[in-house]
Amino acid sequence: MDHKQIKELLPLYLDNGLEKDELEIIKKHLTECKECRQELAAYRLNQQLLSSLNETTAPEEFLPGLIAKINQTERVRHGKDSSAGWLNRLKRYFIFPLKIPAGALAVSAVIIIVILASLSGNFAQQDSISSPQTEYRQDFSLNRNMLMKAEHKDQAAQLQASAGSRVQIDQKIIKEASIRIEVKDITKVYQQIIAITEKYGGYIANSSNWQDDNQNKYSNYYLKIPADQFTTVLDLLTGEEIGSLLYRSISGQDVSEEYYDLEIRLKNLLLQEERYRELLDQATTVEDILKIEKELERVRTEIERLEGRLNYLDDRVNLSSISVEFQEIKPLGSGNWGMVRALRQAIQALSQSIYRLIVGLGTILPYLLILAILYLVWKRRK
Amino acid sequence: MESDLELVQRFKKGEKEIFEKLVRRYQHKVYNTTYRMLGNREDAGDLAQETFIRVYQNLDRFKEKANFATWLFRITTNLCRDQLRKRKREPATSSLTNSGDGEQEILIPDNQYSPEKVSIEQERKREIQNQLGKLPLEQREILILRDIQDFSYHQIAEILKISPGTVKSRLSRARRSLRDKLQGIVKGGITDGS
Repeated sequence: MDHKQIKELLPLYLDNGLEKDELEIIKKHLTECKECRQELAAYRLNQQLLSSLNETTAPEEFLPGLIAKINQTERVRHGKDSSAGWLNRLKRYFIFPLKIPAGALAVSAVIIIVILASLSGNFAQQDSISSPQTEYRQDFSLNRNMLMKAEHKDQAAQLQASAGSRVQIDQKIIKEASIRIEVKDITKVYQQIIAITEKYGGYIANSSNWQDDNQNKYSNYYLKIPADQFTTVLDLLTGEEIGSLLYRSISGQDVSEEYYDLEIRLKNLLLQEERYRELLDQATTVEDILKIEKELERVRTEIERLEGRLNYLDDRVNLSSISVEFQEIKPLGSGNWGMVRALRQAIQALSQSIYRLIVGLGTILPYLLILAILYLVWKRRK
Repeated sequence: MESDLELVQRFKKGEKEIFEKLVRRYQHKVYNTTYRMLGNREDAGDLAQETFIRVYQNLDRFKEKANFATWLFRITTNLCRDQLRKRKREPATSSLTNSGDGEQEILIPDNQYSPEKVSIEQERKREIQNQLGKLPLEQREILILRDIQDFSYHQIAEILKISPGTVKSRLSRARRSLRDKLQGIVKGGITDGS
């Protein structure tokens, strides 16, 4: 290699960018050539100075300015398809052909709403008048319960099926469910939950209880259940011993790809660490030792990071989460709603009597008719 | 600390606010790069913002196998290159030098608090910034990426979409070029290094 070629390689010596054989040649040459040593020193100095130019940072307004610009461009992008168009069209729908004074419209709407609300608030009434209604509701919720159970079994089956339809590898799925249940006695629920979670090897991660202004009681439990007991526990919770199911949602998040990807990377890193350790044993110069140790540290940090992430995923996969909210609703009509109740009762009483009146009239009607005919005939005669 | 990939995945799932975290992570590096490429703070700020806007608009389509940082800087360097070529075609009113490809105004160094005693090193630093601005586009680019932003040869190859061999030869030429330019100017201060 001639001097010119060496000078071309020299700048790369700084960042270890040379091949092994090139490196040897340069190293040897440096011991013999003062000129090149000086050049190398210059390159090194330049690099340091350039490196310090790294200090220039973005001004404070940079980030807020950027966010503002992004929001602006987003608005323009979305605004193009809508805004002017549909807003105007919507407005046009509200222009009535008739001129109804808005005030009257509003007042009548309010009255209707109030009447409807008070009438429909007629749940479990102790009065005999409304007993047919409560029976109806119980029937309804019973049917819904059975329907949901069937759906639930379907969903759970689907979850299993999709797991089975994939290929051989063990699936890593994070299962989560969220359910809401109405119960008759919320104090019993606590014992039941403890019993269930302990029986199936899970635990209560956290729980809370509260009560609202109407003395309705609520409690919330966040449960961790081993993944293979997930469906069993879910079935138990939504079963009839506990209460009636109001809401349920289940989700399964597949993290297999990430999981196995991490495992492979981890394995490679561990191998890499091993190789570095061997290199370290063979290293002689302080410079080399320091370099290798630096690399080792880097690799170790990375390994620990990946291991941490892997453990995190493992935890979430092996323990599924179920969030259960219980509620005990006090039937309306107790306590503060006295006035509304009275009003409702009054309306009911009124409608009852009108009804009876009409019925009464209906029964008399034929007789009245006969009397009326007789009267007319008699009048005619006269 | 979450990796870039994790942040991108969260963004793709719908957490658009996570974008801010990504920006915070890279804003100074990107801004520094555009500033060193373009030579003035205004253009640097505009272009850096433009870079992130492009990222925001395309992040949903970002392939997770790729490396986020190299993609980000590819956009940055491409935008800088376009801007510099545009300058060449339409000479700006305040332009001082406009020959070669992409050379531009003299960079004003950052130490506004100008110390009374200008050491040889300070002098040389100022000159380096100056000469960096005068280098041809490709050489300036590669010096910025390697010596200022500390990317590896491999990463630079990915960012600029050139072969590692090209990275080496360009880098070598750039460093030699810089040294040549500086040699005439600052006398002394070169110590015997070994």
